[in-house]
Amino acid sequence: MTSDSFTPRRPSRLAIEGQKGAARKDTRSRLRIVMYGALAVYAIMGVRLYDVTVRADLKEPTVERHPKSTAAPLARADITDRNGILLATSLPVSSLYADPSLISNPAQAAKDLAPIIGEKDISSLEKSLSKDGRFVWIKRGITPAQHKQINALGYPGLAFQRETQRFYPHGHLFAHMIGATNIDGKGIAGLEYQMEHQLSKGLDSLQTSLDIRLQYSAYKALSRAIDKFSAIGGAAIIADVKTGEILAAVSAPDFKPRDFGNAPSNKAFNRLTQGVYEMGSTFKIFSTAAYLRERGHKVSDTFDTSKPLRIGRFSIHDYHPENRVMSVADIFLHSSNIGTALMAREIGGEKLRQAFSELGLMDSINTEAIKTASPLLPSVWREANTLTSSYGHGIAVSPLHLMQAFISTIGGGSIKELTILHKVNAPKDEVETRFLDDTTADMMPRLLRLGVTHGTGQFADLEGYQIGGKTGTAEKIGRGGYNEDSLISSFIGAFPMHDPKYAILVMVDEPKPRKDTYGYATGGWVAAPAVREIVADMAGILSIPPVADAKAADEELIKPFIPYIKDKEPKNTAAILRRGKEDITLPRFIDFKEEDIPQND
Amino acid sequence: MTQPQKKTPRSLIALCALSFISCVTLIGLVLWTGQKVAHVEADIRVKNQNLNYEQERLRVLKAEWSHLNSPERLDKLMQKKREWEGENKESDNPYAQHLQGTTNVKGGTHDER
Repeated sequence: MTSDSFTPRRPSRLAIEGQKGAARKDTRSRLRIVMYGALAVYAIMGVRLYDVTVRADLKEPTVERHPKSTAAPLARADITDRNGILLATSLPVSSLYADPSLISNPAQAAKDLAPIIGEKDISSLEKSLSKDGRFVWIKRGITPAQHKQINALGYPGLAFQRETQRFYPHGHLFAHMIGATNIDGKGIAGLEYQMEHQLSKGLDSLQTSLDIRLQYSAYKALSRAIDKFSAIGGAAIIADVKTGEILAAVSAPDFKPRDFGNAPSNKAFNRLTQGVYEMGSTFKIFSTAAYLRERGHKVSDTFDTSKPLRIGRFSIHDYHPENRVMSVADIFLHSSNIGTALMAREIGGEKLRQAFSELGLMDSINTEAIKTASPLLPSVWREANTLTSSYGHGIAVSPLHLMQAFISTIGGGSIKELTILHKVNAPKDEVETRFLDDTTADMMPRLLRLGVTHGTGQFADLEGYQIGGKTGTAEKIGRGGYNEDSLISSFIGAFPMHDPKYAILVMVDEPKPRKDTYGYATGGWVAAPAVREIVADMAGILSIPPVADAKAADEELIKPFIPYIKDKEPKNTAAILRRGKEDITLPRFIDFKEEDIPQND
Repeated sequence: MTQPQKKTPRSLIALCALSFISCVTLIGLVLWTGQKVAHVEADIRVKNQNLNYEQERLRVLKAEWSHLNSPERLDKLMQKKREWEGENKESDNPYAQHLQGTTNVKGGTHDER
């Protein structure tokens, strides 16, 4: 049988034609539309899903409406002392603000809020809470306890903004040097102001040269002197002679840094930098140094101080005249105005001014961290100005000026610059500017030691520590000229004088005489004992041992001057002080007494 | 005569299906990764917040420590201690008597035994 049977070929697709076929086509089209629709919906869902999951910002929706400017600033750098002890830091605090539109009963809210934030004026608080705007500060820098209490009140219109606020752990102790910031954390005084740029940007902490222990010691001694002599204020500085670092700097009275804006002007006034004073006899250190360097170290030169020095219609006197011919050494230790003025005349005004200028006494100090007021100088420098400025009259400088010039004079003879920044990484190859030759530089500390052992600074002496220095008592200018009841009494010294390391200045403003000081309020009575106190503290704090054989060391130091002084035996003030007040003999103060001081031109 | 209908090749359907599955898988993967990243970010945020909080606490502690060690404060405490010691000596140590009394009370435990 042949396979011729017909096997119909199966069509690949059956096509239904006719009415059924048309219906089927319609259905297919509808299904397609539905499918596309569903796909579009899924695509939208996918995109939305991607949007809310991958791209979503998962932050909580913000409810705060504070202005952008109040966002918490970057933490301001800490300020520390030379040993890393915190002097100023920025701490997080909450600040309270209100959205008045959300406070339905401002009167009740003010009444509830006032006792918590310590606001006495409830009506002004109510006014703040009733304002038209949507943001008003209520109180900046509240405590965590206040924060909790306010939250407990449950007012929806009260909210908090986190901020940082400046905090000074030692309160008033560093007030004048460290300064203060305003409510927005910007420096407005002291180092906070001077170093604003460094503190607000990019610095972790600023290490100062200050030492908190010495600062307190200086503060204590100064406060005691001010209280004892009922003075209106004062200043004290401790500096490192070798590096120029300020280790302590106190101006009294002071203020609480957080209340700087409300501090009365006498407390906010910084005697260290803003005050300029005629310093009196402490200037004789610089005049004597200038004389010795110009005249080839001749301490043997003599001057006749037996009668007042007349210049024009003015005359220069000594407080307790020696009425004799005196050597340079004697003039210094007896603090003779006449002698010093004669020495200044000998070298001439030009040389004296040049020396003062080299010591930085003619310009304001303007370094990275310290800025002082400009010294007050005579507008025209006449001979009278040369004579009076030699003993510290007619030229007014700040205590920092005095200290800077002093360390340059006793610290080896090269010019030093004061700094309040710790010199831990100071370059050692600093270019030296010489002020004194080696011989004069060696003589000055010896002469200053003589000023304590034999001169007016006896009450500064502390056995074994070889303190050397110079007293100064200057009358302040009042109405109608100099006022003899209104004094600036000071003592500037250093120790140990065989190799001066630390310099100390204590200056007391308007000390009043006392019975137990025999009616004196001079530098020797007021400031010298304070310096002694500070040195005694420093010896303990910095573990400075006394010199082994103090007497022999002293003799060695002052030996070159002994042939040129009249009273060759030193006064044993330390022993006198130990014996008690009743045995204190009246020291021979030879501070100046001016009746007719030439006025600044 | 009717035109034979154009056939969709199976390979194309398979490709479409594969693309769809890949697409869905990819979207799923992206979503999962997104979620994971979001969680990690949230975690980092929390950790950073904790770190900031701890740093703030450290700053506060440092400030407190500095305040507590203020020489002025220590000096005042020392003076108080001296005064207290002086008073104690002068009044023959009233606290010692008090302490003695307390000891007696404690000594009463003998009775309890």
